[in-house]
Amino acid sequence: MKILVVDDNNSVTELLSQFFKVKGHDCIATNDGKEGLSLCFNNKFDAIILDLAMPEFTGKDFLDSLIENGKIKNQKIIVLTAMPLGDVIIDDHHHGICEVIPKPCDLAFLLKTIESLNVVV
Amino acid sequence: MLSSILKSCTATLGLREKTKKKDRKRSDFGKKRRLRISIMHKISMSRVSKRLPWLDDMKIVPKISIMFSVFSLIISGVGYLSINQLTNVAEPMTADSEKLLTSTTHAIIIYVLIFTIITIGCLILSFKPMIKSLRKSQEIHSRSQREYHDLYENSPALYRTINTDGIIVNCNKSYAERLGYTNEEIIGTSIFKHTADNDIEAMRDSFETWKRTGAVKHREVWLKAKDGTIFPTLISANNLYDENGKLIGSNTIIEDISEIYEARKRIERQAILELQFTELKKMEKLKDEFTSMITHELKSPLFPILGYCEMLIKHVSSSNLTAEQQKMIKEIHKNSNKMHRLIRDLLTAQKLEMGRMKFDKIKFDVTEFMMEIYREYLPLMQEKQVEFVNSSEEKLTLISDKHRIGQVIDNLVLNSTDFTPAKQGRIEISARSKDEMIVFYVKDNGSGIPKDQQENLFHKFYQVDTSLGRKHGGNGLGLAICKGVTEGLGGRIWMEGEEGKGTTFYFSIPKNRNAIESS
Repeated sequence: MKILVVDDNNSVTELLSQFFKVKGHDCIATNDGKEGLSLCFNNKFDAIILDLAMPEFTGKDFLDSLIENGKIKNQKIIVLTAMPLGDVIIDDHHHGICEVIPKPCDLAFLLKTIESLNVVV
Repeated sequence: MLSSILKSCTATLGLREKTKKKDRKRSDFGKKRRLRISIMHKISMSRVSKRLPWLDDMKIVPKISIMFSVFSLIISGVGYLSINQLTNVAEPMTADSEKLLTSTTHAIIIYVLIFTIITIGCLILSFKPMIKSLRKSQEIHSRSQREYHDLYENSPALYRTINTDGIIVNCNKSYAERLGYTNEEIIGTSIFKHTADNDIEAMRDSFETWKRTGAVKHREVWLKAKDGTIFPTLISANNLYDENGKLIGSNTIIEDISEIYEARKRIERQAILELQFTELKKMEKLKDEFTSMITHELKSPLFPILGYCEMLIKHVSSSNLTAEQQKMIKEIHKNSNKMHRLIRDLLTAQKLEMGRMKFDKIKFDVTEFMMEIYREYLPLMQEKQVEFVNSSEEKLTLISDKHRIGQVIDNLVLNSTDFTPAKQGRIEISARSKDEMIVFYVKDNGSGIPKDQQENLFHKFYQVDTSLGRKHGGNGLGLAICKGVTEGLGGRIWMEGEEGKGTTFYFSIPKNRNAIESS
């Protein structure tokens, strides 16, 4: 699977990159939301792991840009956030965002969620 | 006969001559006296008429009596002059003239008597309405006095009368009652004795102002009762003068404004409270933002720590690590997990307390969910050599907040682990359908909880053992969070068991069938 990780925390992107590589997946990680958006426009990913609280260009901005460009429906986005779950309000839950998982999370659980999104029925 | 009459007349006249001189003297004195009396009478009448206006209304009867009086005086005068004339002219007197004199004298006497009687009668008749009118005035006067007395004495307002030295010379019932003294105790004392210690200056200023300007209006002064209690009043005073216009004191009306003062204080307190409430709301918002921020900042570094530990334990080959190193990594993982749970519990407790807990309800497979929990805790139970059982029913689904239910089971399982003895211990988790609810339970054969401490279990920060040397850790938030979450999801939580016989914690969550059907 080809996975994109967008998180401003370098330790998180490093961890997830290593983990997905260990598990045999192709992972591209970035600490910049805008760069992540441009990667998203030019590549097709099986899953996008997105952080919400990022400086300058937030996860919400990332989602808004996808909606504006009509690219949200084709994505499988997993929001991975350290914010309390009740505080995460995403209006376009049904348009591309598949899961909201709180940080820190079990890596095996995260991978299982991605795999379940890409099950070919 | 005639000579004897003449003699007697002469003697009478001689005597009269003598008496005339005397009378002249007397009449001079009398004139002066009469003049003085008449002036006094005029003055007094003018005074009286000023005071008694009914005199002006006196009409016909007194006038008639005065006319008769004047007429009788004229008749008496004429008679006197005629007799005088007769006695002077008819000398020596004839029998006829003597007869004439006698009859004339008789006639005059009769006339004088008649007119005198008529005059007296008229005067009596004229006095009657005067007396009546006088009585009426007296009645009006005494009624006014009574009314004034009633107004002063029975007024609900506090009245006191003071002299120019500030000594109380009179006070009403309300004043005496409010201050708790008797009238006798009050009269003769200084107004400053009844003034609150802190307001002596204010009273002095009020008193001086009255003396200087002649009036004081609505001055706020605190008075002191006999029992030492103080109360706020509004003081207004007017002047009292004697008949010469000299200032002799003041009548003071004192309004007890305790209730108004209390109401004002309540309003002020309310305003302060509102201000504090606004400030608190601002601070609460700041605190909330700060908590969110700090939680986020605490959780973020935990993810790589926990993630790398997990990778080293589960996902990469451990052949490069010694057994000691693997043990160290497991310790890091275990303690990082503890820290994670503590942060999560603190945040959840705060949200529950503020009523800001939000639930994200989704449809999920409960059987699978219970299996995930079983798998998650199995290594820990194996490590502790505790028998771990999952006896959940098959094919259970629920629409609820999966993460929060997971948090409740986490807390209950960890609690049981803490109180269950190693080796012989047994912990069972289960989810079963019962009517419109799914009932979850976590059952252990641990030390149990004494009956008297069971009802406090779900209170925040409550610990069964609070001693410094207690065996079991925990923040005291776990069960309070479980209660808050289950109730927030429309269910309830309870426990069964007793000391030495293990404990079972149950919680029920509504299935939300309608939501399932519509979803």
